Amino acid sequence: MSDKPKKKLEMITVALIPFAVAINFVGYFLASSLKLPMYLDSIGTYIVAATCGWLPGLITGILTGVLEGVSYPPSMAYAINCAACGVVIGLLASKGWMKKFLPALGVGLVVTLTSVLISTPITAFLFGGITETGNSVIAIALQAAGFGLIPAVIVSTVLTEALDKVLVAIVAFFIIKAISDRFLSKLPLGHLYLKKSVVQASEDDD
Amino acid sequence: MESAQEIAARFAAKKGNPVLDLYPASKLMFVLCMLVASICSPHWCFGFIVFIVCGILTAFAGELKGFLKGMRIILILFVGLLTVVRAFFYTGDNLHYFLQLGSFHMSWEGVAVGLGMGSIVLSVTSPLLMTTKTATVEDIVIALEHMGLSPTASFLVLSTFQMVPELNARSAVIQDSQKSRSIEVEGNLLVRAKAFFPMITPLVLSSFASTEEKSVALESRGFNYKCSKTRIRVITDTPAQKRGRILMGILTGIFCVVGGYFKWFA
Repeated sequence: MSDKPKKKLEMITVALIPFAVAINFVGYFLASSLKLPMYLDSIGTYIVAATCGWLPGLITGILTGVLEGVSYPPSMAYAINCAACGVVIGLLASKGWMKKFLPALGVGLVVTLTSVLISTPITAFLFGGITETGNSVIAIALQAAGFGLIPAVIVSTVLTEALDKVLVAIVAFFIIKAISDRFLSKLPLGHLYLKKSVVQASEDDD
Repeated sequence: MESAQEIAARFAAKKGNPVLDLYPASKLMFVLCMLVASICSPHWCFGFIVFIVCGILTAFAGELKGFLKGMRIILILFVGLLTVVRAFFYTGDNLHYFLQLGSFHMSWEGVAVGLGMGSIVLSVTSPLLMTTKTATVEDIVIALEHMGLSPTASFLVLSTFQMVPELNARSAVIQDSQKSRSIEVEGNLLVRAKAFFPMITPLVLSSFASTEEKSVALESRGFNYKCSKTRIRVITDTPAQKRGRILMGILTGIFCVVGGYFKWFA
């Protein structure tokens, strides 16, 4: 018998995606209300991508960008960044990177690199290095110190994204650990996170 | 007994205002045309003209206050600050400086570059904000469905818009209950950071149950069944608007060719 328990397909993933987008917003609002110096606005993307795959992660990222763009249109340009992060998380998670703590940290670092690579050209060429966040101040200060536009944007993005994405990876890792096996068994990649005793019991039954 | 047309007329989402009742695809076409035209526009004033036109249309729809509120931060950041920053840090040959602050010089060429970039941002954000202020999400999604968007994608968009305020309200309740359990939310950065996990985790885990219920409800209502779907909200496209969209596309194409020539080749 296959070592993967049976899982419910498609519909539960479709129902999970809007909830994940909402979690992204709630994470951002919570971080703002606690006055934390980070966004924490991709927890939902991490959870969906890690448990359902790269495509739901991509859709969650795009929807997050579109929804942000409704009230603040320039954010829509970063939908592609959110989508790419979802794809990267999904691909790494399917290889088991979100099963253990240290590889999950690695996911955070890879996502940081992806975010820097994609958002830097958008911020630099489309918005001239200006964003509505504190990145602008750092980028302007670096330009005043003699940095070019691209290096200034890269440095400011790395400074803000690295801590944010790694922390979100840690939070998502522990949240996935806390999800019940009953629910995990229904998700496309949920079998990766089932407790050993459950998998062992299903193998013994065979 | 009512005919299908009479039922549709009863549920028609008309508001009696020509801007509000404009078919959403026409507004989306306007956004797309302004995006393309702004890239090929040879002069920075294009974005400001688009902003004024969108302001007038939004005022006609009675949504000017919301539109200006949304555009305020964009005008300050992407026009004001961007222009100032580009003016100070723009480098090139034969620049004409007009202001000096310490070791930094402001040039007219930098101002023009900053205004040009701000113009592109204005050209896209003004029509987008006008669209979101004058069309409901439901109407936009129905229009996209008429153009071929799948019902699954429609559900994703509409459910997302519905779920964000719902989860925000639930999050506020969880925040209060955690505070009553002596979770510290004020103090130094570490104390506040520690409060984040016990606030987000109950929200996420409690929402999984409703996710499962929703998926069962969708399946039991034949959501995945391959047939044409009915809808309770009716929006209609008119032949005049269809011709208008084609004309908009043609005019944008001509503008791009002429404007692009003057911008890059003349």
